[in-house]
Amino acid sequence: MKIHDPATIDEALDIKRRYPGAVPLAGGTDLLPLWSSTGSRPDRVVLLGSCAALRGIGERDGDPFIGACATHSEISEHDRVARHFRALAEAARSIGAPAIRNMGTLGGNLANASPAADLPPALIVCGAEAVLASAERGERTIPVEDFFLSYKRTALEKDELLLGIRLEVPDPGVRSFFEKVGTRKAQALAKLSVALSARIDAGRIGSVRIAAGSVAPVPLRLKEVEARIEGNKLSEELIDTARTLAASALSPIDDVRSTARYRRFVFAALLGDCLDRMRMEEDGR
Amino acid sequence: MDRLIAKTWTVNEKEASVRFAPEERLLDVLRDRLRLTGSKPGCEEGECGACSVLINGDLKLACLTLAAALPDRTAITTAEGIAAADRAAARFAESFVDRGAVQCGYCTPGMMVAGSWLLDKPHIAAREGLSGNLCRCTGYQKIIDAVECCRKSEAGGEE
Repeated sequence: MKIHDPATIDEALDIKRRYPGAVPLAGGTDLLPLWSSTGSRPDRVVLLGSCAALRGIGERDGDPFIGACATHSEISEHDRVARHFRALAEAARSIGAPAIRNMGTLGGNLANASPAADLPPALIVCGAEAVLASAERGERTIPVEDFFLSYKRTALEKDELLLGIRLEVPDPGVRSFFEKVGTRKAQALAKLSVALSARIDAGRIGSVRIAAGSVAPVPLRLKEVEARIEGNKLSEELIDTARTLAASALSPIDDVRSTARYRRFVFAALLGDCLDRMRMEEDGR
Repeated sequence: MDRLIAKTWTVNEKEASVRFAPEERLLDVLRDRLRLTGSKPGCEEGECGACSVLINGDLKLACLTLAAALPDRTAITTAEGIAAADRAAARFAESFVDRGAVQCGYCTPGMMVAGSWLLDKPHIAAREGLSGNLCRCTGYQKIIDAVECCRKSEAGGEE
């Protein structure tokens, strides 16, 4: 195994240009167990930890920007993330346990493209965009929704690296929520997860975005459900309708972590919980 | 065969120059090259916390850390370092013994490292802070009590 330890993004991209098969490594929480369990290691690894520009949470062209190497701990403890993108903070806090959150990164959670990853549904409802770069073609930006192509496949080209996530500060009144169910609270991978972002305007729910994790090969946006509840009064009846719609909108599978029936049933309940939380917060204002 | 990588870290407050193969994990270097066997190989996939260490003060797992990714001057604290540090040592050992928090002992070094990380983090409940450390003997409550007891005595300045 040959290890590259570039100090800048330009150096890292140049390594990916010369060796497109080189595997980027940040926190190691996905790749090291994979290497141990399969007994095979890549020929080349590009360490991302020395590139200061990939770390931390800040701004880019005036918008919030989270670097690919920001850890789940940093995301869950960041004031601005908690204030504007609560679903993302909640999703980051739900991952693993403290040591895993101190190691695992935003970039790894996206680039490994596990269907059970927790950040993607939250990023999707927050309208996040992934910033990708290559040495030859420069940067490009795509919605996180379009980043996942199929099971464990992403839009990243062989010579590209994920630099981070760009967000837009939402309109006042927008609230976002994240809920997940696993075998236990700590460490377990999600059997299913749901993220919701919406606002209440003159008593009616608007700007609705709903996303689901662990119920399909890629994180899903539930646009039909969104369209059916958009513009309605956030009443108990509407929440019931949303539950029914959500259950029929999914076609999950049976696998090692759960069954299709359980996933459909509990997803509907969790979406209902998110809408309930929203209604209670609005009532409490 | 790949050439060995050389790094100089600060391990348990002492300078340690190490050479290791590119594929070695921090757990391998600590146990096999530095003979610090307090960090235990448990699940070796990040689930059990038996190899918990502090890296630059952050709680991390030695089994998921590629040694080559730790630059020179990285500060690493293992269970042996916790036991040697005067503030926590006696208190942790006593507290674990008093409360019956040790049975087979395999998880204990990792529990003590995670517990020491929690000493200055009163906003994290011990149960949550230790949620990445598995114990198959004690049923957890005794360990949680032992760590809470140490945290209280730290905060209060005395037993």
